[in-house]
Amino acid sequence: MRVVRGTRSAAVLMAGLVGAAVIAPGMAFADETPSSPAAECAAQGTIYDARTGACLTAAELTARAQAAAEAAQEKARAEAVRAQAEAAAQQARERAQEQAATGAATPTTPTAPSTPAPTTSTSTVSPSTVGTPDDVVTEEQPASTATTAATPAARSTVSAEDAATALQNLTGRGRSALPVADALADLPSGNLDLGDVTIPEFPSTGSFSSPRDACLYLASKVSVDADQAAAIGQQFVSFCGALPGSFDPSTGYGSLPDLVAVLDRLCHGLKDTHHDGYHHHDGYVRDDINCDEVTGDEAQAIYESDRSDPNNLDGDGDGIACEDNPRDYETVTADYDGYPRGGVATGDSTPGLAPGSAAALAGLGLASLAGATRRRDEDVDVDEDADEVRV
Amino acid sequence: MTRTRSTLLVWVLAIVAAVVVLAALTSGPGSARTGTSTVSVPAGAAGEPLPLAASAPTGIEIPAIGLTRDAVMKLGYNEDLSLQVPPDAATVGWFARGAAPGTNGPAVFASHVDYHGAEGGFAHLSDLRAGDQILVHRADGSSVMFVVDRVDQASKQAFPTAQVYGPTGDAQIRLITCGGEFDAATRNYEDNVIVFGHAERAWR
Repeated sequence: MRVVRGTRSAAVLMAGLVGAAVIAPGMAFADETPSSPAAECAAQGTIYDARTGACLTAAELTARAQAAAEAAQEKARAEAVRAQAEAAAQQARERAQEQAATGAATPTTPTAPSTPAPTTSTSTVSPSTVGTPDDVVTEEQPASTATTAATPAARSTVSAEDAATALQNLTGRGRSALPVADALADLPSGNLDLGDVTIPEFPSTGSFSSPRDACLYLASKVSVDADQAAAIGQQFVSFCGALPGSFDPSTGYGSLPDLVAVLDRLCHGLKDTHHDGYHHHDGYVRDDINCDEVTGDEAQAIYESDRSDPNNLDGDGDGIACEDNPRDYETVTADYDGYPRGGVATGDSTPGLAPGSAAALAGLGLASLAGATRRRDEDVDVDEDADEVRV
Repeated sequence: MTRTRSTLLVWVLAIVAAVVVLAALTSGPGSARTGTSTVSVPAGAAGEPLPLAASAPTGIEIPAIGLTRDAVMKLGYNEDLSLQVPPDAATVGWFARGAAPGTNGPAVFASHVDYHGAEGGFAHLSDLRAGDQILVHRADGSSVMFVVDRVDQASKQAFPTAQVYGPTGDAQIRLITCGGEFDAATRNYEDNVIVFGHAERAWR
């Protein structure tokens, strides 16, 4: 029983992880999509500046181009960074291939859409450049050639960082804020197979009424490899479906920025996970412990032994390690003699996340993708076994 | 003119008759039933006084919805202390930490209404009517015949826990499955369908 619960938790974690990883880059991509004000600026022959929300003239652009040139002076340093990043990305790809051999969805998916080819023909400058938020400019931007040099390095670094920065930009928490609604409304459609779930229209008000709708809307904008569209889509539906139906501060989702903030945290967790992976791959002593390797009780004991939490078992810092993992089931129910609680899940149901799943989601970055996906497959196998029980 | 009118009348009557026949043919066994569904007591069976001593169920028959199972799995609690449910569509489970069928108290059975696209064991549970009979076979070789008292539908958010699991002065039965609106987003039904019944007789 514990195995089943554990793998299910892992599967849920996987869903969230993939969801975050794919959503976030999708939102990052939104930065590059010419938004309405940007289009207006373009119509006037000027450039939209996301930081000020104003249209810039050629003279102002010249000044910015100089700044961009300064950025280009750092190119050498950026090249070094890129070399490192490419090595890391190569390791990630190898790791993904290993995991692909297990026949499950792999981190290839989160990374693939998040690292658009740096050689893209459009001369768009990404505001998601790590540490150097730039202007959103249109394709007519004359000074863009000066700034493109600085972008590839950032593009090819660990994508989670890009995504996190982009998310901050989207929500105005970073230095250059792009209106969320404008960014989201113009996203191109994705290719996920979301089953018969109704994808909500983008609200004319510019704001979604529920995190679930927002999540589903974003899911409809995500593109992945065709052979994974069904699997990833299913995970998205599961992930989004478990989100609360309305923006309510008590659920941890008071607004779209809250949702984005959760995803933001996840991206950082994701980055950490990748980092662990590199360590592992480089042959360092593997001293990190992931939530999918321990029960909740074991994780708690490890966490208690070192509250600095080097294994990042308590991603959300609430003092509970790996809270999505099952506690020792036997001890929970062996002594319980009361009536079963609540309704009976005798429909085509999956175990729902609690409405306030923000805390649970925060632990997502801890789950090793390989473990989560592999176990998800096992989970399906277990379903065939009448001796095991699932919700 | 008269001839035309009578021809029209014949056509109308024929159409009405056809509709009636069609309705009778297409309506399910539940809604078209007039009487209640009974189980047959094997000849020569020795009656047993209720309540019985505890013994686990090994099979269940509900002729009214065409259900026959010669195995019943035991259910416990989920980690959140909710009732476990069978891992597949067809299996019927019995809450083993509650009353055994035939003993005083409610014997609780659960099965899916549907599961992963397959029709569940209790898919037609809501078609049961008061008076329908349910037969439960037990490990000690005895059988208990229950009679349906009522069929309820309750929100999972306001599940009638005490009514379903609470103590009773006689041997009773509860059959639980899902019902109501299906929330595609959470892949959950909003309600539970609950059949309440009492043991009428037992034999071995």
